[in-house]
Amino acid sequence: MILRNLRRRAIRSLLTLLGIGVGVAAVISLGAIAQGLAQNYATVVAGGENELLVTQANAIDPAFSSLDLTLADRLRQVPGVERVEPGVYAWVTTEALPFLLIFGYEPDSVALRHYNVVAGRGLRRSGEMVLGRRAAESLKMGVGDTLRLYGRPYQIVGIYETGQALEESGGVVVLEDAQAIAKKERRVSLFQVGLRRGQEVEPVIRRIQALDRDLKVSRTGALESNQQWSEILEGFALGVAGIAILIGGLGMMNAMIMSVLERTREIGTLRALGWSRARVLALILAESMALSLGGGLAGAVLGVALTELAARAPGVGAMLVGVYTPKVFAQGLGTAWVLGLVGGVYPAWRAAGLQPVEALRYEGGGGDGAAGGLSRVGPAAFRNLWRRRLRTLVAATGIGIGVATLVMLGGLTNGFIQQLNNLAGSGTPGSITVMQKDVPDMSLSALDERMVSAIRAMPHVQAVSPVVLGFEMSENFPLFIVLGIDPGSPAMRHYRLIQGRGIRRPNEILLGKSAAEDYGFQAGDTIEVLGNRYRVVGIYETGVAWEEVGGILALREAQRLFNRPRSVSYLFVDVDRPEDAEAVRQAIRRRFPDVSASLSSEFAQNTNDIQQTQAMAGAISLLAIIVGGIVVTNTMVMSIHERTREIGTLRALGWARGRILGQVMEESLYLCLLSALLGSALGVGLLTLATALPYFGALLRPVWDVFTFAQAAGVALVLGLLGGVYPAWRAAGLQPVEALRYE
Amino acid sequence: MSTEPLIRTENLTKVYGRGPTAVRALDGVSLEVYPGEFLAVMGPSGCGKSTLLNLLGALDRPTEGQVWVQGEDLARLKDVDRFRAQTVGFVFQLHNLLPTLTALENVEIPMQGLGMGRGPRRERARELLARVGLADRMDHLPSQLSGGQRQRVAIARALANDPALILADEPTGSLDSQSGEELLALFEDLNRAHGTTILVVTHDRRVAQVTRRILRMRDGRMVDDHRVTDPLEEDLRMLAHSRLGQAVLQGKPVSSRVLLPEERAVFQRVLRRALGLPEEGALAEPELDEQSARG
Repeated sequence: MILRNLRRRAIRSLLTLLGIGVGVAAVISLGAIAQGLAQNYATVVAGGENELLVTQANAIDPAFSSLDLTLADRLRQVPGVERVEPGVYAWVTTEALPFLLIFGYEPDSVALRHYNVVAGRGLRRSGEMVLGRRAAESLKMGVGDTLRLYGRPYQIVGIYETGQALEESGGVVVLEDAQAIAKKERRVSLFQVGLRRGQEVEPVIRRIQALDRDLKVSRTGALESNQQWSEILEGFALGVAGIAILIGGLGMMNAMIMSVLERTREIGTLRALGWSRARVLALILAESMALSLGGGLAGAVLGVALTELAARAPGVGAMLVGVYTPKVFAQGLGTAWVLGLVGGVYPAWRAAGLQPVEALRYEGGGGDGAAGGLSRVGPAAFRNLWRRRLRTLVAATGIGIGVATLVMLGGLTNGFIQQLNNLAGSGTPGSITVMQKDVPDMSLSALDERMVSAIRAMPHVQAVSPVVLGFEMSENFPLFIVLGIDPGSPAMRHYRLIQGRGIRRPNEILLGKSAAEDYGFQAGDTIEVLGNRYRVVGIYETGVAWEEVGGILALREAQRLFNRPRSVSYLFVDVDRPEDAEAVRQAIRRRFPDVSASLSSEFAQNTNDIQQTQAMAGAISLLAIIVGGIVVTNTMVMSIHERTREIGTLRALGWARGRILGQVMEESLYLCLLSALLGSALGVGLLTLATALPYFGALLRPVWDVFTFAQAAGVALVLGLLGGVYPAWRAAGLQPVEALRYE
Repeated sequence: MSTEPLIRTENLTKVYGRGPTAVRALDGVSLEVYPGEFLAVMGPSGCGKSTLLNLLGALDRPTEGQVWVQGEDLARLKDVDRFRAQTVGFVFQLHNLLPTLTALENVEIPMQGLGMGRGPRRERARELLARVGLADRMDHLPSQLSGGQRQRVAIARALANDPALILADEPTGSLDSQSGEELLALFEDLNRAHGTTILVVTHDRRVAQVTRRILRMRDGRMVDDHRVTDPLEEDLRMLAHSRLGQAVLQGKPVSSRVLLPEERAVFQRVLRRALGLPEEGALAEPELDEQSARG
């Protein structure tokens, strides 16, 4: 009976199934990719057995880790240690590959054996590179070709395989080359420590730990820090999938409500024949569950297919190799299950609550639902939506959530761009921001400190302010951004003190307003950042959110804290006159080919972070359009279905197909317009609420512009057109005689 | 009676389905209707009345045979929509008003089909609603109107583009007797005063009292077509076409509890006279058809 009821409205059931399927597919696909990324990454830093990995404590990723090379000698002296090999990890960005992992090892090190050379030969000297198989494919390069990184050519002497997608999407160079690429002079990312045969592991870990508390020692293959990455990724994946699920769930509820409504008489009959309320409730709920579980299964298949497809994408494919754990599927099917339950409860409750006598008297079809305040307002297309207010509202909310997501992302990205453009030193129109070129993440930028004096000596340059950027993400501080700034530099003027005084000593810190409020500090308190204690001497504000969620240390102290002597993250260059800015920028670019110099006003647009955020927003809108389109189609199919006779009447009275088509499209567009309004309001509202969140809330400073809302309206328009086409075509194709005969 | 028929059909046949399950809903109907006529098509349900109406209104296409309306072959119609909007006006059994539109807007529908401008459309709709006696109900929604009022809106809607022909399918079917009679009076007035040709499909015997020509159908065929002269004769004809009357005429067994043999003979004589058949001899159904068709 359950299946027959669903089959009776095959198209509606199919569309509902599809809506849920896409949501579940997103859960499974994104979950698997997040899982894969985390696992992939964890195994990248895996050595052989009987090995330990030494990295910098608090570095959330080996590429962020920075250790002094001289530590190698101290490690070698630890009893039980047989061999110590330094390694450098770096992310670089190339045109064909947004993320290229560079590994640096000594040519004769044991660690290199991990990279199984399948073509050409192994690494011997500086200037050579062995390229991973996937990277070679993406870059379309082979043995004998030359790859340029930061202007320096590397000859590809071999191709390696490791069986691990992320590793194969990288390249290996000798240690000193990798140090140059990562701007880690005399520094490395990690040490691979080989133990003596039969040596117990635990005592060695304790001994190494005792050397320096800035060290983290882990058994290979189990880098704890990656836990954090995978959690962030999973959270993001579930967030995106959640949107799809919400939209699909509302679509589901709508379909079930309609199904109950049009079967009112049947339900009355069942009740009259002695079915209890509970039994009717169970029937409707079972239909809804069957539908959602079917959607779940379809989604699982679709999700796997999408993941496989993603992994084959050129370039980024290596980052997107899915790992299917039972948990991922359980999450997908679990969501479907919950959707079925939630989407079915209201319609089932409504069905069970029907009075048999009234239900039997119910006139099916479109009925005389027209009543109430707006029943005589607006064109016919609008009134048809009003007639089924509940359905319209549910559908509009579903689509609205998609629109809201877009609006929120748009507002956030705008805010983010504006904040970056307001960075220190850029208040004036003629300032320039200099950072390392081709780094995938802003906090990975590294510049040689000597560049400061070189640029200062250039004509038209008024001042150069070096800045070190680092952060702590820990239980105590979910997100604490540390800026290292020379107390005497012009950039410091950007930070307006509202309490206390400026920095005079290395053990002093200024706190941002948000940080001070969130963590409850004021001038005179003592704060512990990354294991070091500082005295809070003042509180500042800048109006730039992310500058206020952390603190400022003296430049030298920040360099010491983040273990990056003589290296800075950014330079802010102030010029004499705004007109000189472009010329100075060109000069900097010519002189230092591996930096990116942007006018500060354009800086944000040029960073990879923003480009990634925008790509993400694009992906989410696509998902919203697909699921939203399904919901609109479904709603419109239901709408025309129940009006079959009315459409037949219109045709009999001489309305042409085109006119019917037009009216259905109009109705669909109204629905989406309503969704756009609802969604925009929802987006603004939710984001405003989100800014009240502790710690992270302060970072969210949405900026609303016309473009964001225009984009949302545009998406709604596309949805209206896409979702309306099939129902409109179907309505126009109805044969008048059959339509008139329709009960 | 003018020379050119408004409607002419030849061997009109409609078959639904295929193979052994095929149903001949309409079986070789030939018919002529002249301008200004007011005629009723009667017969039991499933006899093909509505199918005939759908074919005449170009809502459906015949399996065989042809229909000409105003001399135009409907199979070769270039613009069916225009034909439906302009040449015929439909009145349905269940009024089929659009529930979201007011009475006025419902009447405007066929005019929208012809692309008429909003102003003239409104004005014409007001005029028509006034003519059917609903001047004070123009802005009501169908749910706020009584059954009879809804049907009058439907008639105003059918008249919107001043069609040559009104096709009404069981217009009194869902009305109480008083509303039904009012509606028929309206039809009669339209026919008398404006000369509108009206074809009503019905099994309501009151219709016989207002129409001037009655067609009777059975199993997809036309079994009777005559002009109305005497109301008593109409009642007798109705009896003759009833199941009982047919059994008596065809000499089929009828329970003696219903009719005693001598009553049966009298009944048969009366019915034969009403249908204009010869006094004696049992006649088979086909002959009866030919007879009545000629009569």
